Amino acid sequence: MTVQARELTKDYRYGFHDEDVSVFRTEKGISPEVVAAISQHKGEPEWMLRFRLKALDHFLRRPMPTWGADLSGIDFANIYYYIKPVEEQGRSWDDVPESIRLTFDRLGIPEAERKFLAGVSAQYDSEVVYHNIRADLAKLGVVFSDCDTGLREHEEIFRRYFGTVIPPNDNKFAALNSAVWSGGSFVYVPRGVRVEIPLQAYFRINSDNMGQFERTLIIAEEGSYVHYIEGCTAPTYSNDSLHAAVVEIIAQPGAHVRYTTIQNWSDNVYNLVTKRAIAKEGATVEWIDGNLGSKITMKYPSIYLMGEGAHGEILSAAFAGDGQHQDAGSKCIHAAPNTTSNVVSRSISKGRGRTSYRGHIKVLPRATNVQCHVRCDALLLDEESRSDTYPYMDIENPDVTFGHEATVSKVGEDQIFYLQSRGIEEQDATALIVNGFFEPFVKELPMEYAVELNRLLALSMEGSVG
Amino acid sequence: MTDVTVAEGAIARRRLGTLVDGGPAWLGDRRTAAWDAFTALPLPSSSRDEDWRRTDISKLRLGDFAPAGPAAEALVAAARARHARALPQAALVLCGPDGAVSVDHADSLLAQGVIVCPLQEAALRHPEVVRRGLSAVGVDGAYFAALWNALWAGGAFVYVPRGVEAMTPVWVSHLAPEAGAVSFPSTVVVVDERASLTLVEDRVGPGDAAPRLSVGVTALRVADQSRVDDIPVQQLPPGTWHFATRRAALAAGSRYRLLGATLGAGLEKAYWDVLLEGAGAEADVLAVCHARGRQHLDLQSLQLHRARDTRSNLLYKVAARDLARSVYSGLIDVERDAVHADGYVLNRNLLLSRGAVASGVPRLEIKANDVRCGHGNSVGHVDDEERFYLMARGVPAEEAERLIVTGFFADVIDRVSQESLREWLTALLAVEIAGAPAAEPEAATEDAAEPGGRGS
Amino acid sequence: MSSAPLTQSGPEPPGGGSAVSAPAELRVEGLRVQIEGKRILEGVDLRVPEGEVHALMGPNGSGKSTLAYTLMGHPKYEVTGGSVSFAGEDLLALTPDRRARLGLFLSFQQPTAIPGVTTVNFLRAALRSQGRELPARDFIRRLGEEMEALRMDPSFRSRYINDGFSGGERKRAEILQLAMLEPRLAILDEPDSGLDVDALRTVAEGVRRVMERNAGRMGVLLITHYYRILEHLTPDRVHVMSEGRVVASGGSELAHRIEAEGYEPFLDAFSSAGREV
Repeated sequence: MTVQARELTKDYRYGFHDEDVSVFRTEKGISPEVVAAISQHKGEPEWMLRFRLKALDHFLRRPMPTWGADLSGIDFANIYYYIKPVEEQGRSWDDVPESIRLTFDRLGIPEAERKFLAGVSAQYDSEVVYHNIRADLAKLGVVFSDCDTGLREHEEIFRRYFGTVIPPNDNKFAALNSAVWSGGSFVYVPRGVRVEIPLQAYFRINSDNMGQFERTLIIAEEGSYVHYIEGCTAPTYSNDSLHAAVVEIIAQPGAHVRYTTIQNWSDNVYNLVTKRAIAKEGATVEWIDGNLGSKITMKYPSIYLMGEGAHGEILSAAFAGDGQHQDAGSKCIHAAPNTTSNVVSRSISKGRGRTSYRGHIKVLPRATNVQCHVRCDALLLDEESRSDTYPYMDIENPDVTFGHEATVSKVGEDQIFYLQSRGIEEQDATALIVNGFFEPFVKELPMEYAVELNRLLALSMEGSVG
Repeated sequence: MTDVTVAEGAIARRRLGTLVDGGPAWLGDRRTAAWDAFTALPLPSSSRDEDWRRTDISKLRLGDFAPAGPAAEALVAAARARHARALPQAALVLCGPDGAVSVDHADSLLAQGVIVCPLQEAALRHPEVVRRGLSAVGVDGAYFAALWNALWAGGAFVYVPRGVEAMTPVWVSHLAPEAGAVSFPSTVVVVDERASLTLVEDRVGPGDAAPRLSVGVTALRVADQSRVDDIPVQQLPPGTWHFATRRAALAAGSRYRLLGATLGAGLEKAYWDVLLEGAGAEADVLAVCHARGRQHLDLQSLQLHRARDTRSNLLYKVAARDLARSVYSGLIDVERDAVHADGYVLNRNLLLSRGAVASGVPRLEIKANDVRCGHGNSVGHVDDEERFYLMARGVPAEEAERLIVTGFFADVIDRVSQESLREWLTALLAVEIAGAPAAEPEAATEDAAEPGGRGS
Repeated sequence: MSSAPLTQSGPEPPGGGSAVSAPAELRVEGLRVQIEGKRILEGVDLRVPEGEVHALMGPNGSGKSTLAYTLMGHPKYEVTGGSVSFAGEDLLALTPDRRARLGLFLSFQQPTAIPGVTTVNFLRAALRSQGRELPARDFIRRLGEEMEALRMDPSFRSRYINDGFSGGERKRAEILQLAMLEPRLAILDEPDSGLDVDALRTVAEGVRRVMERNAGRMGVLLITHYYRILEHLTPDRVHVMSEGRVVASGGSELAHRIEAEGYEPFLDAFSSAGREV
């Protein structure tokens, strides 16, 4: 008895789109002129324009990566690199144009903000249209703004860190982002401040043939704590969109940064994201990375453990339905003594979906007494599903305890039977097991997100019978 | 394009011509096709080729290596002594680096109808079986396999007919070439239906550290319901560049067991491929590797599940010390039709010194869904608690470490069923573990092609 | 998932929300079963009327567990002949979940672990699928009572089903499910194996409590090797299986004789199937 291979009509409830209300957009395609137009439109300082143009040069010169997912469908000439939806950013939802506000209402953002968030940022195409942070946090010196505002209002600190964790020539898509970035988040948490409730950014692509290139920079000063959550959706178009973000995190000594992603792009989005954190002495960085949507995702959140005693956690879950390829993973670079890291990856392939885990653990010669552990499990639901595991490791110090385990299996026949023997239908039984398989990931999410994720999974698992 | 313009070198078109002229037409065609493929391929690059990402051979100058002459008498005697000590009852095939082959102690096997003879001779006398044996090793794929296909000479051939259980093992000694020369160690084995064979392949050379090149292939074809035990031992001199492909194609219901020990060479890139082609085929690959000095030992394994109910299991245990570097990459590839495939890889590394490095990637590519596959991978050092425990019983620290490393290898070595062979392997390992100083590379001339340089 | 209106969660006959009229009698006739081509059951005949307790005994390998799995519909067990009906329905035509919703329950000898699925979530899903969903508060209260009666630690609620459970914990968890689901026929596959005397009493009392609560409407088919559990759950009938057949049937005194004399006399004397003792 195998899991029934019912033809799924994946019910993507975020596939709607609004009328185009944009107030400015660059022409299709990318060139120094387009980059200059973006910079000029934003009124940026000269150094940023130079940074962008240099990055563009890197982008144009670098070949397309050939080692991961199939990216041959991307047509860089047929993309809008900058679309500005509104003239002014809102501080209150009332300031946001109605059509856009309704979109975020449908996505449940204002409601979530009222209930359990410390701050919210909502990006629509290229710009953040709404931004707010609780007054008490602002008073403590916590900065949570879009990245453009960060550059404008906190240029000194912005410039000190921007592009230092992920240099513009890091890879082709980081270079592209560095050339045309817009929006995203700038988070600064002063020394010793603990932001106990999460900050949330929500990214929405609305336009057809759109490229979204948000840029996020998080600086957590000594002993501080912050939990940043991002969610993303897009309309379903027949043309492909491109999302190439760059996220840089600096966790100063003793700081603790948790970064949670629930990626639910529509299945016409190429999601090619570079995320990297630096953890200094005694700092902790956690990436909680869920990938449910997109056509192709290539994303490998990284932690550079630069300071003694730093700790990294990467917990990821990927679901690939028909036609999706989730090529996701992690990197932990141990560059200091007594550093530890732990990686847990769970992935599920359904229909003709394909998941790939690609990871890298590196222990440098000076990093003594290192402990790292990697665990990847993959579940295949159908005859045609596929799963790959590519866990690279380079250990250059003998004083290390490194372990890696991986399994690939299908849903157990005995598990299904056990649940069926209690009256649960096969399809529901499969859904239960799938939820259980993702449990290590889900239990790290705030309650509201856990509920949402389980609901999304249930939708993905459901057949034509509701 | 490969630079093989040095006319007097061993790796040259002129050499190919001699070999083509001296053999049967089908083999000549095969050699020519392989040469064309080889010369069309660039030298594998650590920046361009995923398989070579951690093994840098950019300093290798193939054109510098001369054709090998006959083996020195001392080396022949040493090789015979190894056979006499480890498995004297085995038939002995001595393959010189120059292609000269001698066969001894094979009478009982010949009486059973087993063929044990030089490969070149077999290519003339038993072309169909040799072609069967070679068919698993394509001429146009990998760089060094193509080179071997074009230029091999000498070599050992073993054929076990249907239903025959070979009474004694076959021991093939491949002797390293002299300093500055190249050899092409070759073994082709065909074991027919319901037959069985134990093969030992010993690659051995003198102790000096002069540059040498060895490009070898071992091809095994294991027919339905048959059984092969395959025991490769590699103890080449420390200046040797060693490129080896070992490929076993397994038919339905067959059982293949590899028990390997990798100890020598300066830089090695070995491919161990197991092709599970018939339903119910099973393979166990168990190997130890000890690396020291500046050795760079790279093993790449493939467990290709092509048929249903196939099972494969690989255990690779590596101890590395000094500035040695171990690279392991493995792939379990389960094709769509291979339902109920069961594949596992476990790679365990013990780093014994600062400066020793272990790298690798155990990969899984699973395209069938009703499978059970997994891998494990660990890197550690000698456990302080274990060392303390032994020291508390009066064992000095260094001795304790040697005991622990010996114990680390024991679960592989213990599976060798022949007692004398097991003892010999244990003794070889003991010498490595005790760390008799590795011969330092000879005072390198400016452009000596010395392997084992640390890649980035 | 289907969810039934709350009105269906009131007092109901055990076995589900739908009104059940046919008596919950199990009838097995000439049942032949094989696993991966190997014949295990060679024509089993058995009848368990509604509300009766029947013990099924027999040496290892006689086919007792195979019968239990087959009744529940495990896909590995291939039925090659015979018929099984329960509550008037052709059981063999139904998927395992349909059989459960008809009121059949199997307490597994070695229940499988399902990592990530908590006992609470699982039981709620099971009740919901049977159309007997309880309001959350009632459910939690009831679960608490049952767990207390079975002397189970409250932490079991949030532990994953059978994941890392000891043998005894698994047995109790099975009986907890029995108590929560209240089937019409409980097949208990060696609920006593590996239990000490105290644990055995707890498990047996747990089963009896469910039976009493349902006022004789829940039948039990109890597979066991041991007489001990029968001291707590007195059977109406005892059947002995050997080599894939029921070779002897009788009253509870048959269990006494097996305890005293072993299986040998029965196997020799009653090699023909189904002899009344």
